[in-house]
This record gives sequence, C-alpha cells and structure tokens, in this order.
Amino acid sequence: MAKKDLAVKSAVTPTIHPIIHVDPRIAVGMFFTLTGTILSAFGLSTRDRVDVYAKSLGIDANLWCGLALLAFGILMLAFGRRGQAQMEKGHAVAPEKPELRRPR
Amino acid sequence: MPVLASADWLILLIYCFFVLSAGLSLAPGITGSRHYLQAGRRLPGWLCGLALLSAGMGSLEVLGMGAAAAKYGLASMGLFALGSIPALLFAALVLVPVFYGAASATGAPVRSIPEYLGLRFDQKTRALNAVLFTAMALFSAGISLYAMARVIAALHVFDTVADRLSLPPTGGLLLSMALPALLVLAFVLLGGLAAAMYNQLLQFCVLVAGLLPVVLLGLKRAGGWSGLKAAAPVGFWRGAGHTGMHPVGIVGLVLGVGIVLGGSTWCTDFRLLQTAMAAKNAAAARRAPLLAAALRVFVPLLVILPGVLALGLPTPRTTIVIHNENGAIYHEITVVPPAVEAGQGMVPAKVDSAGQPVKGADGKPMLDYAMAMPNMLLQFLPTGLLGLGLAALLACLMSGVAASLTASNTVFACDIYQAFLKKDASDKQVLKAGRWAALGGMVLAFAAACAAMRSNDLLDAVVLVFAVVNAPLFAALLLGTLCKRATGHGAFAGLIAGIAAALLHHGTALPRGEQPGIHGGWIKVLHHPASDMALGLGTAALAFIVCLLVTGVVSVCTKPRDPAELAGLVRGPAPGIAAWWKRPETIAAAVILLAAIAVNLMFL
Repeated sequence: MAKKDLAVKSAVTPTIHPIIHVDPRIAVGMFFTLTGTILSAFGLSTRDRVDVYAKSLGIDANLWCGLALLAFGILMLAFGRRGQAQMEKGHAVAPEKPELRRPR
Repeated sequence: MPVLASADWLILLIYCFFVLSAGLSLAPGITGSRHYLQAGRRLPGWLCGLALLSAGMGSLEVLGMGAAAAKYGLASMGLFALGSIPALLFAALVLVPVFYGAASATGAPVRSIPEYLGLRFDQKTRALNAVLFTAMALFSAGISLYAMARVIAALHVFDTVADRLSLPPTGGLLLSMALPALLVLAFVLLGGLAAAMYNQLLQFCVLVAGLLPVVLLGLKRAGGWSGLKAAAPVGFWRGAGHTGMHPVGIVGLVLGVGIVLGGSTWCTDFRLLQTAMAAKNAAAARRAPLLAAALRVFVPLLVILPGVLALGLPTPRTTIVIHNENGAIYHEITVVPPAVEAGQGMVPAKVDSAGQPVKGADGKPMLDYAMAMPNMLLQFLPTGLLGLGLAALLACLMSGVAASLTASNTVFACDIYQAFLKKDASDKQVLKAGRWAALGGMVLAFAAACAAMRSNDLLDAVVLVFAVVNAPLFAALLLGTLCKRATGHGAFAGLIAGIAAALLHHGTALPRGEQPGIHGGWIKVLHHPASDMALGLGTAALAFIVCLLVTGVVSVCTKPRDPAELAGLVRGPAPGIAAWWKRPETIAAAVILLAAIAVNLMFL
C-alpha cells in the first residue's frame, strides 16, 4: 500500500537538524494529491449515478472538488520540495542562524 | 440516517493516517525539552500564523460560530470580526514581540505566559496563573471533545463499529470521543508542539476543502446571494443588533467583545500564543498574528454562512418529493424524525430522552443550533466528499484539543514541575515531565468530557471559566507589558480581585428564563441580563476592569522594581527603527483593518 511506504519514508528520512527536517507543505501536498486522486477517480466512476449526486444538486461535486484538491496538492508538493531543498542547503551552510533582531 | 460508504471511510482513514504520521516523522527530532515544548523555536512565520488561526478554530468555536449564525443571523459575522481582528493586530504589534523577546537572567527565552509573569512580576503570580491555566485548558479541552463528539455521534458515524463491538447505547458517543482523543494524544506525545502545529496546518486546509463545497452548493440551492436574502426569515437580515442581542449598547459591545473577549482570547490565551512563540525569530513571530488576522477576515464565510444557509433552507417534512433531474422525474419518499420536522430549516429541535422535541417557554420547539453545520454537510455533500467533510469536523476537534494539550503540558513542565516541584530538574527530566503531563492531561480532559456527557450544562460553563481565568489575566498582561510601574503584588492582587469579581457577578446575575446554577445566579439573583451572551460579556468585562483598577492601585502603593531588571520584559520606545507609519507591520495592519471593515460593510 502507498500509505505504508509513506510512513517508512518519513520515519527514516535522515535527520538534517533536530525538529524541523520535513517541510510541512510536503505532508499537506501528499495528503491532497492522494485525496484529490481518489475523489476524482470516484467522481469519474460515479458520474452517471443520479442518486449519488441528488444531494449536490446534480453536480458531480466529487470530480470537481477532487480535481481542485489535486491541483492544490501538486502545488503544495512543489512548494514543499523547494522549501525542503532550501532548508537543507541553509542548514548545511549555517546550522545555527542567529536571531535577526531583538524586539524591545 | 447516513451510513458512510467505503469511499468516505477511506478518506477519513487517510486523514487520520497523515495526522499520526506528522507525529511519527517529527519524533526522532525531539531530543530536548525545548524541541518538545516549543518546536525548537525554529518554525517559519507563515506556519505559525496558520497554526494560530487553526488553534482558534477548535470545535467549540466552529460549532459555536455556525450556531450563533443560525441563532443571531449575519450580525454574528461582524461580532466575530470585531472580536478577533483588532485583538490579533494588537497582539502582533505590541504583545507578541515582548513575549517572544522576553528572556530570563541567563538568556533563556521564555517558554510560556506564566513564565513571563514570573519574570515580569513574581513567582506567586506565576504559580496562580499556571494552576488556573492548566485547569482551564484541560477543562475546555474535555468540553470541546464532547461538543464535537456529540455531533459526530448524532451523525451515526461510529454506530456500526460500536454495534460490532457490542457496546452499550452510548458506545457511538464514547467511541467518537475516545478515538480522536487517542489520536491527539499519540501525535502530541510523539512530536509535541511541532506535531500539533503541523497538524493545525493540515486541519486548516481540510477545513477549507470540506466546507467550501457546502457553502457553494448551499448558496446555489438558495438561489445565490439574493436568493438567500429572500429565503431567510423576516427580520433575520437586520441582525439581532436591534433586538436585544447586545442590549449593553454599542459602547458595551466594543468594550466587551472587541477589547475584553477578543483581547483575552487572542492576546492572552497561551493555547493560541504558543504558536507564535515557536517562531524562528522575532520578525516571524510578529508575522504570525498578522497572517492569522488577514485570513480571519474570510473565515466567517466558511463557518458562519453554513449556519445562515441552514436556517434559510426549507424544513424537511415527511412527504413524497417529486423532483425533476436531467429530464427524468423522481419520486422520493422521505420519513423525517419528529425532532427534525419540528426544527427550522436544517436546524433540528432539541430532543428529550424519549426522542420528542423539547418545547421552550413560548411553546415553540427549542432549536439545537450546534447541528446546523453538520446537517449542512449531510445535506449537500455526496458520498466521497462527505468523508472529507467529516474529516473537517474531526480536524476542528483535534486541533483545538491538541492546542489545549500542548499548552497545558508546557505550563505544567515549566511552571509547575520545574519552577516549584523540582527546581534542579535536568533538561531530560523536563522533557519527560512534559510528556507525562500530556498523558495525564488527556486523562483529565477525557474525564471532563465524560462529566459533560452526564450533564449538558457543563457546556455553558466554558464561558464562565474563560471569563474567570483569561479576562483578568489580559488586564495584568496589558499593564505588565506596557507599564513599568506595575508590580508583582499589584498583579497578584489584581488577578485575585478580578477572579472574585467575575464569580460574584456570575453568582448574582441570571439571564431571563434560566434556572439558577451554571447559568448564573447561584448566590442571589440581583439582576437579569438579557441573554447568556450578555452575562458572559458582562462577567468578562467586569473581571477585566476590576483587575486593571486593583493592579493599578496596589502597584502605586507598593515598591517599584529596578527599571534595569525589567529590560526586555516591558515594551519600551524602539530606537533605530523608522517612523511607525513606515514599518511594514503597520501597513499590513492598516490593510487588514480596511479589509475587515469592507467585509463587514458588505454584510451589515
């Protein structure tokens, strides 16, 4: 199952720096890519079923929402990858970033 | 009643899996107490902002907003904007920089609000607040656990599971409390605050994804914006502003909601502020409330509109419905339970133990407004999307409970364990204390939830507890951060006086049509506020003012502290920074304030 792979992958990711070594957007992206795919697949397979979509006023809400979520998920994954790369680079150069400005 | 299809279950389970995996993936990084309690103070500002917003949208808030919308109309939108946005901006500009930058004599940054109180005032103030805060956080965690579990149980989500396990009739409710509670406990124990905040980000996204389709479909069903206006009950659109919802008048409203309620939530409550204090630097910490405020402008569209739509829709009746879809005619026979039929729109009536609708003093059925939002989900979301909608409800529950749990374990570990029980505790011991506190806290919260299950009145006690703990604290923090003259004795006396005043007011006032007890009037009924809401506001405002006055007077009478000791603990003039109107924060704040006003003009 895809789920299991994810768990193993995230659990054994090498620790770059304690605590924040996973960009949170990656998890969000994964979740919505997965859910979006499932919903659009479900929406496609049930798009002729009037009984399923009577509730949503005859609109195939699963398909449209699924597609929207899929797009959002892929976008988040892209941002997350970029953020992750930057974070790893940043930690390699200067692991302890000094505080920029002390407030009064 | 709906039984979830396998597509719904799949989405729910995937959501739960991702929630747990946040804890699993962060667990290896938790090597010290600061990692566990403060996410290592390394999180980016945008994450803190979204987590802050999300922590402020627990089950009580989301159900409460939907309920208030159904009860009071769109005016509640203005109320919520007024209650949160100015307070968030004030927090960003004034308080958060002080809390974030405050450090002990050894240079270790402050970890919690009670710790700040200990540094700024004295240890007795710290101890008082730490104990009160822990109790409040766990109590309200339990109540919000119950409030959402009640809704989930009413949707019969876990009934089949409970039947299979041959649990007693309350099994569905128990399961809907126990399963989310276990999940929250698991990821908090594993990943601490960081896991809670990662999940709050996910929660926010799931909430939008689950509720936006409901709003859009609901609006379409009602015939768009104008259709909604036409379908809403007479007088509904004028809002309750004219009819006694806030009889305290406009001044009272601004003072009560804007300053006291908003301030004591968004500027004071450590459950919310902990997210900003986990930011990676001071600039990020200030960005968090700004971002939260900017997004908060649009939150009412998501959580308030479903409530309004729910009441505007036709009430289901036991009838044969004939409808026409794509040219085909369908005959649909629906059997509606009496409670639903006695309700209005999608809001069912409250039921007694025999399943009959409960009638109020005026003979009309009393409506169960908390079911407004969940019923909208059932009404509009088809199989598949319904799973996501339920995940959104579950997400609210978990984010609120997780925020309470992480905040209370931080306060316990720093301000009770390390400060008083074991002063020479090593870092590992503090970490361990934090995890044990999370475990113990969850047990206590669950006990509170079970108590609420027995007596529904406890739901209303949250407002009182909040007024007693947070409103006076806001006054003390305000004086502490802004005024060097405020002293420890002053703050302690002020807090005690504020708490006493709140209890006294609550004990002597009783809203019309209520029984003395948890709704007030348990000492002697002296006056009658117009509603529960007016009583809560009045109590909070009184506690705030009394604490402000007493702290001021006692401080003037006691010896001031050496100003050198207060460096970094009190907000001072900021040298070297451009004039205030040039700062990006101020500009952002102005834009957000304008947006808030614009949205409100649209609705009021």
